[in-house]
Amino acid sequence: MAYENRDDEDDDADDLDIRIQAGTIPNYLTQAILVTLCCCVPFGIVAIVHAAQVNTHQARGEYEKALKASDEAKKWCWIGFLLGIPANIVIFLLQIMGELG
Amino acid sequence: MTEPQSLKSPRSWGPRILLVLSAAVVVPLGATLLYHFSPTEYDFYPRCMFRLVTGLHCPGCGATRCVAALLHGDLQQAFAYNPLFVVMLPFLVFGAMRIAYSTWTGKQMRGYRLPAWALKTLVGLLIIYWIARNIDVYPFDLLAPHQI
Repeated sequence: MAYENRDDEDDDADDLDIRIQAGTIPNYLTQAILVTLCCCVPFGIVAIVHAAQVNTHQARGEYEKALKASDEAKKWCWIGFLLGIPANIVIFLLQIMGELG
Repeated sequence: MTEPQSLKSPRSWGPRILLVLSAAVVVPLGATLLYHFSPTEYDFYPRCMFRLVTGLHCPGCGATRCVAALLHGDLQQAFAYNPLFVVMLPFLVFGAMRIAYSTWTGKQMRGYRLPAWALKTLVGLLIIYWIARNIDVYPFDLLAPHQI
């Protein structure tokens, strides 16, 4: 693992700390918006709210909370995606069958 | 809570292959289909399930027709189908680039992060937009997908 920042105060800085210092806790905002718009499920909204919390906590320096919010945002993106995509496929198939019948 | 999974970098080539596949195949193919087969004439495109179930417009309704209109360079028509989507598209493209970067390198892209109030405003805006485009009275019905 390459350490970009050599003058770390912590010598035993783990992967997590490096990312926190880089200020790059993922907030999954793009994914959340895409889930909201493409899958048409309210779960995307929940994900955007969690994405906002990532930014709030990170700005205040509460990195543990930011990481938790990040995981929540990711979770809700997946829930929306995994419920939305099969539902869309089912509707698509029904559409085709309806046209054939 | 378990240790956050979100910070692990991709160890395999799977996500990268998916990334290249979507950039080189899915996006160009989708754009070609949308350009040559108008969503207003062909109905093999995925429908909005919220609209099918409730009969109401969701914030994303009209986005497919919107992209098709944009591919034809018809900005006015694109706005008529989904104004919010047109406004958000540059941000979504930028976001897609960020995702591509982190998928490829396993690192998050450094750079400016939107303040939390901006995201909260976005949530509020989405909900207001969601309601407003279902009001069938003059200024609001302009927000619902319509053909010029």
